[in-house]
Amino acid sequence: MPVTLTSLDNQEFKVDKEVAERSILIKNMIEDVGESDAPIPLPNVSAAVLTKVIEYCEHHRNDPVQVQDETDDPRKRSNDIEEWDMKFMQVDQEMLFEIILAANYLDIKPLLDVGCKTVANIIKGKTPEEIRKAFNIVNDFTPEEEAQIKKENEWAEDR
Amino acid sequence: MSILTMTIISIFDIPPIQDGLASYLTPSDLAQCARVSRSWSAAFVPCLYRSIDITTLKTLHFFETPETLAALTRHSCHVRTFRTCYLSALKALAPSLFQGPTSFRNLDRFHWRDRKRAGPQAVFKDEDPLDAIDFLEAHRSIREVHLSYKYLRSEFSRRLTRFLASRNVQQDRLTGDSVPTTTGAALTRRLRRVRINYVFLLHDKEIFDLSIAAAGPGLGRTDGDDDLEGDYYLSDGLFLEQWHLVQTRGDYDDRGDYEAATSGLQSDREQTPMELAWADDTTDLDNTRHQRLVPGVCRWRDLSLDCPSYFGYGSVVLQALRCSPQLERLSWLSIEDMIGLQELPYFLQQKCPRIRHLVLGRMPLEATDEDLAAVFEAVVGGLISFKAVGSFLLHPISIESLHYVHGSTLTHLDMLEMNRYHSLLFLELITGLPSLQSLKATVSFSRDFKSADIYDMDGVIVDYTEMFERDWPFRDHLKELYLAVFRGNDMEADEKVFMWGDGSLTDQFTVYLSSQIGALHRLESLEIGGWMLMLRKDAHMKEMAGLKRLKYLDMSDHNLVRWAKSEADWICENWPALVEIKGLKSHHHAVAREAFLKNRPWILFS
Repeated sequence: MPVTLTSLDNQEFKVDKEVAERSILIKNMIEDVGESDAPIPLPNVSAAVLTKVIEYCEHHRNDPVQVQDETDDPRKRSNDIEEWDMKFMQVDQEMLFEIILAANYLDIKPLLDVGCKTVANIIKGKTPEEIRKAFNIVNDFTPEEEAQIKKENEWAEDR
Repeated sequence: MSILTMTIISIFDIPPIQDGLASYLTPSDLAQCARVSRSWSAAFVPCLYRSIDITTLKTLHFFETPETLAALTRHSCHVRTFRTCYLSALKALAPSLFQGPTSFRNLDRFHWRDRKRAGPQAVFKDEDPLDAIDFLEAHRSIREVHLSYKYLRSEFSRRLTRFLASRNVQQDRLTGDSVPTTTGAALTRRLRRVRINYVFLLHDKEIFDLSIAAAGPGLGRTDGDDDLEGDYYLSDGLFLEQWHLVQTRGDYDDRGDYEAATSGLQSDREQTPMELAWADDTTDLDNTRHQRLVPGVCRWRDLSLDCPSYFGYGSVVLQALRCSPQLERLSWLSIEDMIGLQELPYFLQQKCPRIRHLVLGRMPLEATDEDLAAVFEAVVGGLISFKAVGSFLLHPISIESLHYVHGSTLTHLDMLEMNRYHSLLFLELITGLPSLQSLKATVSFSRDFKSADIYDMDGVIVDYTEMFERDWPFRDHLKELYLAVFRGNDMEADEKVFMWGDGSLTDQFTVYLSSQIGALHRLESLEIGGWMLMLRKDAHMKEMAGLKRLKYLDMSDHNLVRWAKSEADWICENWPALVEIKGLKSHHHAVAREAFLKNRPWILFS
């Protein structure tokens, strides 16, 4: 049965229930409301972003539900992104961040993970200056403050 | 402020996204993030301090500075996991931080291990296991304890037992280098998982006593026999990971009397602390997680052995093989003993018919190429992977056996941890293995070679001309290549200056390698080192369009090798699938890095 989703800019999207339920938020909403033809409003997601999110959910509609990783090491690998996901994430930075925000809002854990991996890969191996450049961030530290933070956290720098 | 900047800030302000991101970053990356801006510092510093690992002397030295200690004090409330083997030294540096309960109040996991005695010259004091107990008692929030000790002193054991009894948490793990008889079931009963690093076969009884204690009633040894022929159950949570064989006293004789060797395992001799200190020379039994371990017939599929070279230990390894009919993967990293090597084929063929993966290391000096050939010929089912470790090489006889018996099945060949392979032998070896998917080797390019220590090489043609005409037969299969090529001494003396395209043997070899590598159209991972670093941006290499990972080895040591922007551009243009580049961290390659980042911002530099 199809479900109608309405974006921030009032565009309607008809998708299979199974696809829409990749989002835990939508799944819970459907469960709460019961069978209904009323569109589900998603006021935090624009049509452009929702199109991408639906594309992701369509592709992963048959994926098994993710189980919580119980490994000891909380640090995870970011270089194991599937090829399709990698291509899917090759968007401009603004869209990338919008997708991550939407994944967080809609509670789509695998999409949030792949978004975080992509951003982590942009950060990895870069100097603070390169990171600022990559994300267009202004350095609001004084040189002394930055030197102090560097000194404090030097123990971690070669790890 | 642009919309983009606003979005970024909002992303990094949301805790689940912060956590998600931080979980994919190394401490070094997090330290860089902390220096980006005030808001990034606020977001990432708590993540950085979430896991503190002070297990190397180098890291400990950083914590000698007042700034670092002050920062750790300030951020200790963020620490969830704390790993150390320098607790006593840290306590001396900052008593208030490591003694009282006020700091580290959210600590979740505490991993502590004892370390070797450093001696009177050491800068930092020796580790006192009682400090670990003090720390545990002061921090009741700790959910998981992982202790690894060298020698379990009675006071430590007594206090640890009392501590564990007071917690009612059965998540704790205890890793012991040894398990002395004084450790009663009272201690181990408190632990859900007991992980024993080194089990002294002399004290094999203790393994099972521990398991009974850890498993609780219902599971246990089925008979009262203490010797190895008994039938034992190990508990679910017991990881028998490493064996330590101490003076097996095996009376092995040339007639093959293995039972005598087995009985040599039994001894009522007590261990001394000196023997406990030997524990660094370990015998590994990797991945042997079994609910039921029956020494008469073991169910392990993966056996990794690295014994110290005691008299007779080879017979113990063979004994292990004798009772391992399910074995699929054998790593024997220290053969060293001729009896072991010469008997190995019999055991592989008769007792371990399922062997598909073989790792051999440290051949005895007297070993011949025929001995190795006999090992290959004894593996009846066809090897899938072979790895060689240490100072031996495969020569024509064993190469021929490998081709003949395993040529069609062998997909993984790893010769990284052995001597540099002579280039001619290397080419001879790989050109007979059509199914290779992964190849790793370090090669020495020489005109001539002398390796009489293993095999008399008389009669081998030292002529590359024919070799250079052979195409690598695995070009439709190979996915992973690690190749470092170095020039042998004779080549260095012969041609001091090698020019690209000068027609010399070196040049021909280079052209040959680049044409062969370039034709590997299924390659996904390429690691090149040594002289292979010259093989960049070559017209032949355009075929590798599916390459995902590229690693340059030892680039930081090569001051002469500089990356130009044009090379980065060439790679971006020709290798569209590339997502990871390793080895370009040095500032010498800043120009190339910038070019990469401009074309492909998602490329991961590691």
